[in-house]
Amino acid sequence: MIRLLILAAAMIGACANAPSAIAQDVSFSETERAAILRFGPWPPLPSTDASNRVSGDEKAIRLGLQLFNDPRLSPSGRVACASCHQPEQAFADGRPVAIGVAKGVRNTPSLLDTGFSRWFGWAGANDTLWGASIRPITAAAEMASAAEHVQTLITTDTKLAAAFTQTFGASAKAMGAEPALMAVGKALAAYQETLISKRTSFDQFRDALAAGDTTGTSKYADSAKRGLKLFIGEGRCSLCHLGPRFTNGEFDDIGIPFFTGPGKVDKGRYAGIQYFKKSAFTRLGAYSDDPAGKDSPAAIPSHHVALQGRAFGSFKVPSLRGVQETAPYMHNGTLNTLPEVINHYSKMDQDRLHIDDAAILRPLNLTPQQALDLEAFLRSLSPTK
Amino acid sequence: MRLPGLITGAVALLSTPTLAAANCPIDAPMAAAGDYQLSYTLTPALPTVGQPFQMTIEACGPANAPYTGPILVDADMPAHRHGMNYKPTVISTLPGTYVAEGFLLHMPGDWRFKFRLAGADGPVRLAHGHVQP
Repeated sequence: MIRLLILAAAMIGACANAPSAIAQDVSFSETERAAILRFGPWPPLPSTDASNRVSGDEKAIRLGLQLFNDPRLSPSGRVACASCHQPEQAFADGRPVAIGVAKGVRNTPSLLDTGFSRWFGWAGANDTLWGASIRPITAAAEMASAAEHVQTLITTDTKLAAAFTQTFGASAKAMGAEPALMAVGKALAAYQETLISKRTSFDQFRDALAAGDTTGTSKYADSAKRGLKLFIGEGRCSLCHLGPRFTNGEFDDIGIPFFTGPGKVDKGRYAGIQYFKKSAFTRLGAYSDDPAGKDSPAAIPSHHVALQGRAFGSFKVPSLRGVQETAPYMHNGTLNTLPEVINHYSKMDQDRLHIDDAAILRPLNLTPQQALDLEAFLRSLSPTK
Repeated sequence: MRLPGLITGAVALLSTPTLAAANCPIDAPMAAAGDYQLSYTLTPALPTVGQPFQMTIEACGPANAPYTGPILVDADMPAHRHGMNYKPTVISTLPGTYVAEGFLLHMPGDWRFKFRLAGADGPVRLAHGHVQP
């Protein structure tokens, strides 16, 4: 959880590269140093998804890229995966909420680094990237497609048909509609696993700190260092935003409204778990290619995830890598800028929180300088342009 | 949570700890209440925040005999007033020895492992603190 800052809107944009507004040396204790090192190294070692037999396969990656950009997956012929997950927008879309065939209710999450996730989407409705890739294809408000439509497309387009058969060893027609849709999801997943965010000035600082390279650490802006200190210290952001991706991969309620209209509620993680438990397209289902099947270590969280009341109105703790590129923020895209996000945590309305969460979250009441420092740190988690 | 004997599979154990019948009484129990005491080990010994891990429990009951009844396990962060997002399952492996799977601590900090045993006069609740770095 970010939980920091006050607005100081007139000062936005100064941040990471600005001269220090506070003339003080920023040093870190051994405890802080250990905490900082846990945010790396970046990027992680390459890995593949055992539940997807074409994970890491070059042919599947190429097919996945092709399908990702193909609006014909939607019967309207207008909506591709890339319509909302736009490469030039960090694979998000810059809109408050996604617009597919119809207007949605959630912000489009970036796909960068998504392959490292355990649960996918704001509600974690899927435990595999291939399952998460199929869901928008068939969702009424997104691509509004169906297995039969996808199978027909793959069968009738000769280039797609050839690439599909080369990748999966069988044609979509021979495979059947639902298995063909699963295969499309797996090719899309293979492509998305390659979308890994670039190293940042924070990563350079972190690695220099690990190496004891004081020349290297001195290149990181003092404002970002102070923001980092807040992030891992009194801001307690790193309770949830931890590890190399700056997320624990879980879900929380941070007081963002979950009403989507009069009498309409986005149940968030609660609905995500309900969806997951009914889905056949999971690590626990027949379409998983993991040789260990349901007993795979990767499936342990899927077996044990619990539907609890506190999941209601909770949404995924997002990665903060590349956060500068993915505005607007929160599950419903209601916060337009990083200063607004920081202000949310600074002035948090605790009455909006679950009683459970109220014990963790509290208004941070940041000074304008602290807000700027935290913003500088957050911006340092994006690659330098 | 389910009762021992009802759970199958899963614990075909990834990094299976060495299992033996409970050696009762336990010299230095991690938690005790009345006639009941237990200790546990974690696999891996130092779990990573956000990653699943197993717990092997050694439990003793009245007359210093291995406890063989049901055990329910859970974990929470008392200061935060929340628990885990997952419900572990438990199987009995040998008299007084249990393996619980499905733990996942999603935040660093002060956690508490909680155990509920079936005592002769009702539930027996035990707990032991755990600091998750």
